[in-house]
Amino acid sequence: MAAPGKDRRLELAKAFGDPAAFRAWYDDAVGRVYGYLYGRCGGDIEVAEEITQQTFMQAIRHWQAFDGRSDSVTWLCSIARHKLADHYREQGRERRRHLQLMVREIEPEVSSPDEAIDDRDAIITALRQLPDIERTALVLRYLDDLSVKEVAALLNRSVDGTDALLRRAKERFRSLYPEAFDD
Amino acid sequence: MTDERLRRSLRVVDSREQPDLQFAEHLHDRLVAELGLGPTPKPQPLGGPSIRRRGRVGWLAVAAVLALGLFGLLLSQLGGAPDRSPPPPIQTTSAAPSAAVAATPSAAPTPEPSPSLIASLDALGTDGLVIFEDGSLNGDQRLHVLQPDLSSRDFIPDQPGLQRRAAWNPDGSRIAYGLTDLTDIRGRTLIWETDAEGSDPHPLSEDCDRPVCLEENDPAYSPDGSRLVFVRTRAANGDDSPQSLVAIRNLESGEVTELEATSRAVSEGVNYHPRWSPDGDTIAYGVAAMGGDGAAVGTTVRLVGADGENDRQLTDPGLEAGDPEWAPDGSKLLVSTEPIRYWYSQNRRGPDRMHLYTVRPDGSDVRQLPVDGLVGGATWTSSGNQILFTYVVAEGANPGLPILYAMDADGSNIRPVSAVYGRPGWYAVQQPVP
Repeated sequence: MAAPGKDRRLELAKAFGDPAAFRAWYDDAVGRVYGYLYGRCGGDIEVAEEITQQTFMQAIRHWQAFDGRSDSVTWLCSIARHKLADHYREQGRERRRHLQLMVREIEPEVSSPDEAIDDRDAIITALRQLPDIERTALVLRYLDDLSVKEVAALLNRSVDGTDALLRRAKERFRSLYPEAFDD
Repeated sequence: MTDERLRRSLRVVDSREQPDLQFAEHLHDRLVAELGLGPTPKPQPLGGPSIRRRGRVGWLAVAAVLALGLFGLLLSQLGGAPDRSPPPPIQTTSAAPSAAVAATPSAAPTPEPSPSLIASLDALGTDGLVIFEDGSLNGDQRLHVLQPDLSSRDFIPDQPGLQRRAAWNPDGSRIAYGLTDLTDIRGRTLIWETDAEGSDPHPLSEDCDRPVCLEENDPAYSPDGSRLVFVRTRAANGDDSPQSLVAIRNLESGEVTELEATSRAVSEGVNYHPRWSPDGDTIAYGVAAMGGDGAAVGTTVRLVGADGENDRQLTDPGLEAGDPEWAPDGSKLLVSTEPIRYWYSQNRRGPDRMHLYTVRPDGSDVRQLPVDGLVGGATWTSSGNQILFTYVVAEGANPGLPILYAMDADGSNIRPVSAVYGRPGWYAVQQPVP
């Protein structure tokens, strides 16, 4: 059962003030955050590690921003999503500070069909071959279920430009992994 | 639907992919340092794919290690952490040759046990209090004051947190130090000051606030006591690109002047241990340079004018010198090679080059002081006639135990000034007595 927001904040504060509690929290969170990022950056380990690091650093420095509406790992994944967008977009971080974090519950245990798991490496390989900005747009739109407008805001692009970007990304991804479009 | 099929396909990348264990542990350690949680629990396997050994250590880890000075880790690296059981009788040393040796590292005499020499504060020749940094094994660093019986007591017992890098003001009435407030979720270090009794602690870093000012540490008073030089970590462009620089605070007005010439990205180098020259014109400071992989690749001592001009290198990188301390007459500087903090980040090479040297302000006349073994954290006594330093016991029942020692300025008359039954100590500083 999900803890109320206040309790979640207290739990996080406790974890950040006690070595043993922090160890337990970290061991649970780091794999989930890394796993969240790994596929989204096309299996680029360096990027996944770098953004994992940035995510945790931001979390412990700005933990007061955690409102407890989601569990702390979902909150971390929201930070990671923004960091990933930051990583690939052309513009700096200033405008990002005006964005609202859209917290979506992340399902920690993704139940994937066996055949999908078998295809995972192929999908990640295909994603890796996309230009960074197209890959980011694609995963934000179709993996994180953000609206085109939200993707545009994260990538600091116009809605129309993002829509065009997504079309290009889909076409390129289709050429690399046509199975994703076969019904 | 095509988009739905695309969504389903992409969802398989939401994986249980686990990070590299070494990366995860490095990240854990730097987060613990950032939080100021001190010693870390034993790591637990994260599972996942096979372990890669790329050993990435980012600037955050190095900066944190440099800032915190993890003596416990040092001690453990030195051959096993010493326990709390009573160590063997005081290992004193015989008088060393009276003259400093030439620059080339040579077979410096090894201190030999000499029961006839008894550790004594009287041997320092002045009454100034000796404050030192306790390198206790749990990393709970505190400032201690030596007692006449060579025991020690907590200098500021009522102040929680980690205390380090103490420096006396010129008349011995105040002492500045770095304090890491463990109740602060950010666990950062700021500069505090107290009186000679340790009874009036108050912050000097009141205006060091995020997001621009991340941390202040390593204070030292100007010769006239009106200013304080220290190392500031700032993040002018946000937390992701911090810089380390030497700064000066006017203690009257509170105004801080950042010496831009000393500014460097933390990912490339970290400043530490700035010290005023006796004439107040020059500041010596150490720089631990970081390589592209985030590991320290060398340390040097640099000089910069107190006006921020004429920043220049003093010691050759090959010497790997740090922790500069001006002689009272300004004729030379005392430096420690592979200083403790740097050594920790450089531990692949081991501690066999922890020596003491003197060097003139123009970089000439580099001389190794004739004390062998693992030594560091050296400072001048208030009289300037002697040198306080830490000698790390390398062998015996307590390997890694750091003991405060003293020697005459020429390297002779080496003797302990703290009992091995007392606290391990580093960076001892003696109170000036006008």
